[in-house]
Amino acid sequence: MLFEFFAWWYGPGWLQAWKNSLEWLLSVQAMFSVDVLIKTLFSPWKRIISLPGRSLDEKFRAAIDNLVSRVIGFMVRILVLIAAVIIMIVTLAVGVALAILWPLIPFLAVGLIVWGILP
Amino acid sequence: MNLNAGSWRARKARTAARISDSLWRVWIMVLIMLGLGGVAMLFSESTRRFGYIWLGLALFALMGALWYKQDLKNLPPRTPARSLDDMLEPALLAEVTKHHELNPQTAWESAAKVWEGRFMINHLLLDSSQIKQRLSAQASDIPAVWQASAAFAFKDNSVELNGAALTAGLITSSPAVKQYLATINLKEDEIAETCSWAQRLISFINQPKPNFGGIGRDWAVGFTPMLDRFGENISRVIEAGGGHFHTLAHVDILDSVIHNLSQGSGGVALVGPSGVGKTGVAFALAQRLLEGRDNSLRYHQLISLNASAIVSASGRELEKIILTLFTEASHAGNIIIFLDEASLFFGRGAGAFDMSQILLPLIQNRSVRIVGAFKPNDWQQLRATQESLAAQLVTVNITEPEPEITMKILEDTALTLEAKNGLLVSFQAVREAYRLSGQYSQELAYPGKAITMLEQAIPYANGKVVTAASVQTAVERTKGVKVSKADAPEVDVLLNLEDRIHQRMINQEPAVNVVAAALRRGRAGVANPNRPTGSFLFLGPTGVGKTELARSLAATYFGDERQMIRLDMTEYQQESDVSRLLATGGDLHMSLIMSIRQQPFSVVLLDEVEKAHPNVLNLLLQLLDEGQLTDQSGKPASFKSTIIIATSNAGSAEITQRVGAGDSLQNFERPLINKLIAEGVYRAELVNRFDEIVLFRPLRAQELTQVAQLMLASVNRTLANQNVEVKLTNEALAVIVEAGYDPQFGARPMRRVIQNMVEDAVASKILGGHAQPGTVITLDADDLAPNQ
Repeated sequence: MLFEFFAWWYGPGWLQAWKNSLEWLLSVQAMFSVDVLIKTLFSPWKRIISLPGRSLDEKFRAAIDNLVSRVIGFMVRILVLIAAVIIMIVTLAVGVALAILWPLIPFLAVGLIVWGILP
Repeated sequence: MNLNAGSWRARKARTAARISDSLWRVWIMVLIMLGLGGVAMLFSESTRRFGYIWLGLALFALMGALWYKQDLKNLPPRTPARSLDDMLEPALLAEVTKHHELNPQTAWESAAKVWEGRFMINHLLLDSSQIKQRLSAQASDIPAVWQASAAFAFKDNSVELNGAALTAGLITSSPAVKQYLATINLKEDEIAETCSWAQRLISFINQPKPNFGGIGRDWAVGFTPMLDRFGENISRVIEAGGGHFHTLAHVDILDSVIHNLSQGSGGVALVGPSGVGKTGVAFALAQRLLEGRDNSLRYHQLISLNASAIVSASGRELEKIILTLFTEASHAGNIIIFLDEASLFFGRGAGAFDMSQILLPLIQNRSVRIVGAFKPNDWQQLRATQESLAAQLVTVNITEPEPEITMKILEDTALTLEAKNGLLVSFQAVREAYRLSGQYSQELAYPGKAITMLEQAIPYANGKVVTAASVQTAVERTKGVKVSKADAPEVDVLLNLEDRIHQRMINQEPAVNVVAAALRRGRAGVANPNRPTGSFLFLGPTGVGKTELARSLAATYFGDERQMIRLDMTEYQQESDVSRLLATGGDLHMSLIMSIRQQPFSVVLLDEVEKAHPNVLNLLLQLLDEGQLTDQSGKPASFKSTIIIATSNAGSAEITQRVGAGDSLQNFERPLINKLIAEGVYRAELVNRFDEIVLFRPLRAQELTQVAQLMLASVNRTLANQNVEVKLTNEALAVIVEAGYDPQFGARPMRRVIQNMVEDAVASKILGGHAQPGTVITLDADDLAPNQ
C-alpha cells in the first residue's frame, strides 16, 4: 500500500494539488460574484433611482439622488471586490505554496519527527 | 474481460472499503488533536521536542486523509478499460474481489452489499434468497454475467459498472431466475428500466452542485416587496432546494421558451392540458435561468403570482395592486412573471379577475415579460376574446411526454416521495400508477395523473413500502372502482353470480349467463380494458325481467341497487337532448356524464334504447367503442368499469308469437335481429358493438308463480321486523298469478297486485290485532283484499 500511496502522492495527487488551487480560486470568484460586480460596478444600488421632474431643480435633485445611489452601489461593490481580491490572493498563495511544497511534505513530516527525537 | 483482484485499483478499493465512517471521524479528530497539540507544545521549551513529533505525526495523518479523500474514495473508472477491475464501481470492486472464487451466487452476495444493488432488490421487491438459490455456483458462468451487466451499464451511457448493473446482469442471464421473475410478474425490460432508474439517481448524486450566482448577484436589481407578498419566487424555492430534479421531459420546450424570451418576446403561453407539466416547465425554466447559461436572461428570476391572494387582499384596490406588481417587476429588471392557471388572471373561472387592460401596454412596450400556463380551451377563449393580448404571447404547445419518459418522470418523483415520507416506492407501484391512471384518470394528462395517483397511494403503504396493491387500494377508494385482485368473498360471489341473481329473478338463463360471464372476464383482467366491462342489448316483451336483471346485477355484484344509472331513452328523442347527456352543470340527474363521474363502478341501464334520437345513439357508439364519453368542456369520463345494458321492446310481438308457437329463441334470434336492422329499428353498427344481444322470452305460468313467490318473500323480509310471516295457499297464489299477468305488460303488474291483495290484507290483520309477534298469517283466496 505504501507504494500505491507514494505513487499517488507524487503523481495524480500532486497534479490534483495544482487543480485544487485553481478550483479554490474559481469558487471564491463565484462566491463573491466578481464578474457581476465588475459589470455593474457603477450601477445604482438595488436600482434605487429618482425620475427627473420637469423643473431644473427637480432634475438636479434627481441627478444628485441617482449619483448618491450609484456612489453607494460603487462603494459596496468595490469593498466586496477588494475583499474578494484579497481572499483570492491569499487562496492562490496558499494553494500555490501547498502545491509547490507538496513533494516536500513527506520529508517535512519525517524531519519533524526526527528533529523531535534527536537530542 | 478478466477481473484482476490484485490490481492497484482493486487493492485501493478494498482499502477504502475497510475505512468506515466512524474510523474516518476518529482519524480526523486525531489529526486535529495532533496538529493543535503540536503547535501548542512549540510554545514551551520543555515540550517543544514533543511538539515537533506531534506535528510530524499530524502531517502523516493529513497525508493519509488527503489520500483517502482524493484517491481512495474517488476512484474513477479507467478508460479505456482493459480489465473488469478498471470499470467496476469501487465499493463493488472491493466486494467482488474479496471472494476466492467468483461465481453468480457470490457475485449476487457482493451486489446485495452495495447500495446500488440493494436499490434494485428493494425497488423490485425481490426476495434475495430466492434469487440466490436459483443462480449458478459455477465460476464458468460468470463471464456471461459480466457481459450482460456491462450491456446494462453501457445502455445508460455509463462507463462504470455498478451494483445496479450487476444485479440486472445476474437476474437476466440466468434462465432459472427469469422463470422466477415471470412468477412475480416482472419482465426483462422492467429490470432494465429499474437499472436506468438507479443510474439516474447515481448521476444526480454525483452531479456538481450548481452555482446560482453569489452574494452580489442581485445588488443591481430592484426590490420586489409587493411581488414577494403576492407571489411565490420559484427561483428562490429552487435555490433553497439546491436544484430542481425533473427536467427529463420537455427539454426542447424549455429551449423554445428561453429562445423566445431572450429574443425580446413579451411572453410565452404554455398551452397544454392539466397535468401535462406546464408548472414543471416553469420550474425547469427558473433553474436554467439561475444557472446563468443564457446571457440575456442570466440570473433572471421567475415569480408565480397568486390570483387568490391578490383578489382577497385587494378589494377595491385591485387595479392599483396589479399596477404596482408589474411596475415592481419592470423596475427590478430581472423578473419574469409566471401566471399558473393564467385564465384566472384574464377573467375566466371561479375567483378570477381581468388584468389584461393593465398588462397589454406593459407587454407591448416590453416592460414586463410573462409566462402563462393555459389549458387549450382557455387559450382558445383568450385568443377569441382578447386577440391583441394573445398576439403578444408566443404559443408553445405542451403535449404528453412519451410513455418511456413518463415512466422516468414517475420514477424520479417516487424518489422525492420516498425522501419526503420516509418510505420506499416500489417499481411495481410506479408501473401500476402509470397503468391505472391511464384507465381511470381521464380528467388529467400524463405525467400529472400518474403522479397524483402515486401520491394518493402513500397512505396505503404496506408497512414502509408502497406496492402495486397500495396504488390499487388508492384507486378503489378515490375512484370507486374495483381494480385489485378479487378476494375470497368476491371470488365466491363471482363464481356463483348466476345463483345469486336467480335468488332475485326467475329464469332468463341465457341473459343471466352472459352478464355473469362478462363480469368474471372483467374482474379476471381478461376483458379489453379500454371498453366497458360488458355491453348488452336485451330484447323482449315488457315485464319479462330485463330491467330486473340489471337491478339484480347492481344489487348482487355492485353492492346496491342504487349502483345503477337508469336512463329512459324516450326522454332523449330530440337532437338537443345530446347536450343534456353530456352536461356538467345544472340538473345533474339528467346528465349521464355527471352520474358516471359520481358512480364509475355501476350498471348503466338504457331503457327503450331504440327510441333515442340518432345523435344520442351516435354517442352510444363512442361509449361502446372507447369506453368513454367527453363532456362539453372536453373532459372525458370513463365507462370502463361499467356494465352497459340497453333494453328494447322492438320485436317483442314476434318473440311472443314464436315462443308461443313452441319455437326456441336460438332458432330465430339472428333472423329477428337482421329483420330489425333491415326495418331500420337499429343500425347495424350499433347492434354489432354490443358484446351480446340477448332475447328474453315471455314468462310461463309456472315462472309467474315463482315470480309471485319471490315478491312474497320480499313482503316477508319487510314483516320480519314485526316477527310476522305471511303464507299463501295454492289457491291464493293462483289468483295472484292470474291477476298479476298481463299479456301486454308481462309480470309487470305483479308487484302492484301483491301490494293490493296481500299487503293490504296483512295490514288489516295487523291493525285489527289479529297478528301478534310470532304469528304466521296464512291467506287463502278468500282472504285476499280485492285488486283495485
